[in-house]
Amino acid sequence: MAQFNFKNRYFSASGADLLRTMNYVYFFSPLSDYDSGDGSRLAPYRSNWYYAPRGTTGLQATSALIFSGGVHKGSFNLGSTVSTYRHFTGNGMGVTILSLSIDQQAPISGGNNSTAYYRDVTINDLNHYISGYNGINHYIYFYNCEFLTTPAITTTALSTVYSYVTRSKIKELLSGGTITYQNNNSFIGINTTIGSIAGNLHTFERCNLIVNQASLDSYKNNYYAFDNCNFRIGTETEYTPLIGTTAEVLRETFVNRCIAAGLTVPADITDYGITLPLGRWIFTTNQIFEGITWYGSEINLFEIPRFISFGYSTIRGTKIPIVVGNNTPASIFPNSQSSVGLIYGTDSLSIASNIDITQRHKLFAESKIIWLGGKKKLTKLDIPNNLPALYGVLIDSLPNLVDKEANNIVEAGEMYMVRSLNENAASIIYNGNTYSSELSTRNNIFKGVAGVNSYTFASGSPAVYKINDILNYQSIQLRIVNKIPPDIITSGTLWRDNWYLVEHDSDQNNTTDYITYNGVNYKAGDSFLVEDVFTFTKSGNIHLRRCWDKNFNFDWYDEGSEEYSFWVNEQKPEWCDVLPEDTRCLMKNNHPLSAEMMRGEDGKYITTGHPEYYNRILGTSGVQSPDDIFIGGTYMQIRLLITTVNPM
Amino acid sequence: MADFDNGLPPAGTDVTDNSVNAVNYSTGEADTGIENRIASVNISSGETGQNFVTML
Repeated sequence: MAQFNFKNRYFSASGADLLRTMNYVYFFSPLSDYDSGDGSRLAPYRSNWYYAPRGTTGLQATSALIFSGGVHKGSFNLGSTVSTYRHFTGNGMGVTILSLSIDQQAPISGGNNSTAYYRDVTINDLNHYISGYNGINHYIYFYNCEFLTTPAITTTALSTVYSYVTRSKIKELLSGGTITYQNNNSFIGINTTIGSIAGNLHTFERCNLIVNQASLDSYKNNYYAFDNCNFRIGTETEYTPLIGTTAEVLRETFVNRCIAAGLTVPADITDYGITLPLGRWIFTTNQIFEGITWYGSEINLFEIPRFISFGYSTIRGTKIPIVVGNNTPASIFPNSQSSVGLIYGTDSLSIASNIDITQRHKLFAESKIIWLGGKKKLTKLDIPNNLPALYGVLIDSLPNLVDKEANNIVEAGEMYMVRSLNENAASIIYNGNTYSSELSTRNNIFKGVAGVNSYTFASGSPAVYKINDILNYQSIQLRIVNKIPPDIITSGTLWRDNWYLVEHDSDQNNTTDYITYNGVNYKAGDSFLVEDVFTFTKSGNIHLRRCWDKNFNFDWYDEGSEEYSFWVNEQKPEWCDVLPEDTRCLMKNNHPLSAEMMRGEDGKYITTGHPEYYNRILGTSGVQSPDDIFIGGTYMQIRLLITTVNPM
Repeated sequence: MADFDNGLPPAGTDVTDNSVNAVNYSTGEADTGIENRIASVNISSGETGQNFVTML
């Protein structure tokens, strides 16, 4: 199988295409071994190491450091005596987690500055130290970063650090030096006073907020969105939520509480012809999750007439809701395709308390059929979640570790990780070196070499796993087709294990006509899986379309059969692995108008989660595939796999 | 935080408060009708045996 490659494009916090503009680019992975990495794409430096990653003291002063997915815990000594411009870029929030200790030495002569840019990463326990000299300034720019904890940014007393935060998701406020929050940040679960954070167009989600007269008078012209927040207003002594559910009622409640708490509410604000008290603020419940809202939400409906966009993300995607009931069209709901161990709630899919995350689990949830409203290309997927990646719990359909332990067979060129079968430390000896399960030293990964095919147990009860994806990509699964069989079904027997879509005869927005299957009424746009009941009834001008077998396998169908004839030249409903942040694919014959996606050596469609995708668009074989084709189709299904004990 | 002897998260870690909230997708219009093709071959010709004189 092809080795996963880094992506074809990485951007700096200032928007520069790093691979095209930087003379020096170094790649890092937490799952590479310490000895063989040289900072290249296919042999990245190991960054998950408690000592300086090899070579980092010699990194060029102006360079880009590209981090794969996973938790990076190295100590970086980036020594330099001239101006430094260093870019730290990852694969995205929640995917690349930086817990680095960085020593960025500043220039020794006056007039030079040091600058660091962070982008597309989650910051957790980051320690960024700059050794400075008198009068030298240091600048750190954060763009599209998530802050789980406050980064420790320190410097010598004689110099100053200026930090700028833009389009980021902040769960702990920054401290140290001079911090400027620029526009469009998403604050989650923080305590602050409205107005004490600079900038405009922020979202505040599950925050405890103090409101005083200055908040109202001085910041009424800033656009803010408050979702599920608690307020302590004027003379109030406790943080309490606003009573109500709709934005309209919540605004009224807020205004009334301000008056009752002794504050004077400023005159109504007229904005683009809409007059409201505090008309640039909006109060909502459950309209933002992890900083992300969606097309048609109350927040979005507030944005549209005002030509604004709240929070770190500009994407307003269509929401596939997580629901408890089974007749919400295009939803993710508990059905037989969901594994046990998941708890469904409204807008919530969580892991049951009886699931031990120290054991290997693959939990999965699946959506209904999603009609995209005609043939569309898929441009982005957002999955707001706060699963604990730091504990190895991820949404990831690509196993980072091969399921079985290596059984004392080591292949040359492959990476292996040592773990313990119990709670105690364990170690093995391979090629004369000892490797331990302990994360405190992280001497736990080795690379197979030619001629040394086995290891020996040294202590404890070790388990050795082959690493499948050293770049720690995190993917979801989807299947998407351009067409479904054309038959209009109004009566007859349904096929076991097939998905059926409900269509109205003439008006897909109709909400009165329905199909009844297994005691549940399904309206236009909804879908269901047939299992043990094979009959249905209809009410009104409505019909069914059969979509596909839940375990679709084209090889089942004999040549000449109805199924074979329909699917033979069509995009088939087979699951493929896709990175949510990059929804591209390759098409058959490298032609963007092909009916079907290209298949890899393993027979699977090549989308961004396939190991061949980035290799092919980078032209690693000497022949380059087009990099501008997005996954397209008309009918789609999505599957989320939540896996445990991924490398931490 | 996660520096454990056996390389695994601590037993009994409670993750029930952590959840997935939705999947949001964005779409654009699908590409249509862009063909890679040779459109035509254009040739230029002149009278044979004729000498052109450029007048300046």
